[in-house]
Amino acid sequence: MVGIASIWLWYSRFQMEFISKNETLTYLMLSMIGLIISIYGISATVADMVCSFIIKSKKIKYQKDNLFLIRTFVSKARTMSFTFGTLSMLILLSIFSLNISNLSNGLYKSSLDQEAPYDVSIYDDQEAFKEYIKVIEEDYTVEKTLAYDIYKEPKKQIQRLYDEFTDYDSVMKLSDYNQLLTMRNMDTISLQEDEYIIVTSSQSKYLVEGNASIKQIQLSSGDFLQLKGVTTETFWYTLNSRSDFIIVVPDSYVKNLELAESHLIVDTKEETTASLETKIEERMSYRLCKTGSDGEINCQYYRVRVRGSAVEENNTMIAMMSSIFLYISFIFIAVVGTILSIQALSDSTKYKYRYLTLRRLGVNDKTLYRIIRKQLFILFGMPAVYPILVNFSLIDSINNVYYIFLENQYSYLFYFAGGLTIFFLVYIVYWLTTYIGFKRNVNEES
Amino acid sequence: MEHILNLEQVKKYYGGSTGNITKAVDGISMYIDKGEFAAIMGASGSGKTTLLNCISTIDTVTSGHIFVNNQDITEMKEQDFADFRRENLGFIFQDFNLLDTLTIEENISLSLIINKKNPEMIKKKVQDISDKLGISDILSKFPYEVSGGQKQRCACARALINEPKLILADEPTGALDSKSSRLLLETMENINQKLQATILMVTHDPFTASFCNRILFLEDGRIFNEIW
Repeated sequence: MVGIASIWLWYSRFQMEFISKNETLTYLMLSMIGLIISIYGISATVADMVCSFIIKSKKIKYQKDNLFLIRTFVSKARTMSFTFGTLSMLILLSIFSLNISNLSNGLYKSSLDQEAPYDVSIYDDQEAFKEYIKVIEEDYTVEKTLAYDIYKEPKKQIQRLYDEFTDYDSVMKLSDYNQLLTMRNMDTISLQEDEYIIVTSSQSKYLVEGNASIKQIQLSSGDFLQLKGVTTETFWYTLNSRSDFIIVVPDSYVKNLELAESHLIVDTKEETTASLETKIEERMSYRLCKTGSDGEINCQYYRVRVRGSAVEENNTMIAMMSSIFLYISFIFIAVVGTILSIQALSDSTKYKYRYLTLRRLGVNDKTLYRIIRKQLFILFGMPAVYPILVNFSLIDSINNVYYIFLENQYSYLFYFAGGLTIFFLVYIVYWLTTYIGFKRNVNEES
Repeated sequence: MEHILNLEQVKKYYGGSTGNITKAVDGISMYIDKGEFAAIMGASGSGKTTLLNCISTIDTVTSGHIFVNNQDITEMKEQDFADFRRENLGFIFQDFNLLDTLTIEENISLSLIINKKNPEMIKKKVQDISDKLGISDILSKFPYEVSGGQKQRCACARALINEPKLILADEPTGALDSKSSRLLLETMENINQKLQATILMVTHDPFTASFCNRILFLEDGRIFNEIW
């Protein structure tokens, strides 16, 4: 019951609308404490619960080797309940680390597209764009360029829903937007004269989707536009510099709007590298760096984004994170496997007489080895069942927030399955070596 | 009289590659009839436990033949031994060898469970045999909760419940005090007389052997005397 309540609490707080709230951390910590209590509680009681169920049913009790197996396991569990709890905790952490490691790899591709969807993205005045292109052309073949503007819509009917400091809605022309899509080999969109769309980030989509107050907006020109839809697919960090959204409108509506900022997109034939970003920053520093009134130089290198640079940064970060979590996971698996193995092998020596008695009572080798396999399967398997279920719930809830960074909403299932596969591959090796050792000990006695 | 057990020139030798041969059993021929309560008596090292292990198929003979219920176990394949033991033999060990994780009732029913008998039949048979041996009030207890004598009676019940052709007892009173020993031996005498169980007991204790109706004396792997 404690476990279910804790998982429910975790799940309810790990949602987009709550994740950034201050009290969420307290609830999540309470949930973790509850989960830990439930793990130890289940470890201490599940064996007896299963035993009493089996013993009550004559049919199951006297079937094959059920009686011997369950009694042997209960006897073990009673003496090792705290250890089993700790092992379950380690298994939980191990699988969780594997899942985080896999998720980190998944984050790579989508975060790369979010940060640097084009070979070069620059935010500056249009008059400087020729110089930027000249610098790029020194080392690369420029295939296509696009200069587009972001405009200010002062009525800010969308901006009021976001917690941002701009006092206008960012607006883009439909033609510019479609060119951006074409450069990404994506399908273009069409809008009726009285339609608009909102392009926003995945994590902010919930602020506008289904919001009745923006189904129709009125521009400062007095024109009314109907909301055609909200899309997150084409929102990139470099799309505009000020807000977490832009409104795309038919071209005619931007005529009287004030210019907010200009952007340059460059598509090169060759793959870019981080050195291009460094070169642009150095060569164009007179535009990117400003000296303040106090004499301090402030460089706005964020206005230049080269895909090659993003690739290198992400590779390093993801590799580091993924490796750390993978390493932690393997340490925990090794600890669990070793403890269980030593316990089992020690029992095979201490309780050899049990198997000798079974042999003398007429249990053949094939059946005896099957009993041993089942016994070890239960010993290794029982501490893993609850952690796997808990882990799935945790990853499922984490996906509520992080799916926006992954390929799709169900990618986490593949990462979870992948993590479990790696875990069991290593775990099975421990199980197998324990089984071989156990058999050898039992046979030595006889 | 039907011979339940028949040994023909059974030999069990150990060693050989280094030149030192230990003749644990050196050409024993004997028989046990159905319904007999026989003892093999001898000092430590006389070969009695080795002989019992050969009869129970735990160990194999070097030469000779052993017939149990007219079946030559020396010609059997290893994979058939377990089935043979299960269907024909019952065991009472010196150290009881009860499984400590099972209750007395579950220990007694173990032979029937291994033989895949019906649960209702198992329960009935266990109750029946435990009534006969005077242990029905301890069925729900675990071995560590009962006395040595009660454990050994439980072992007897386990050996009997499958109605084996032959019960083999290896120093059954070895771990008991005199009172418990007497009680156990009277029980075994009882089951021999009332249930017609055929029992072959191995012991070094004359008092224990005195409960049997036939005693074979073993020395240096050979039978040198016999009394009825």
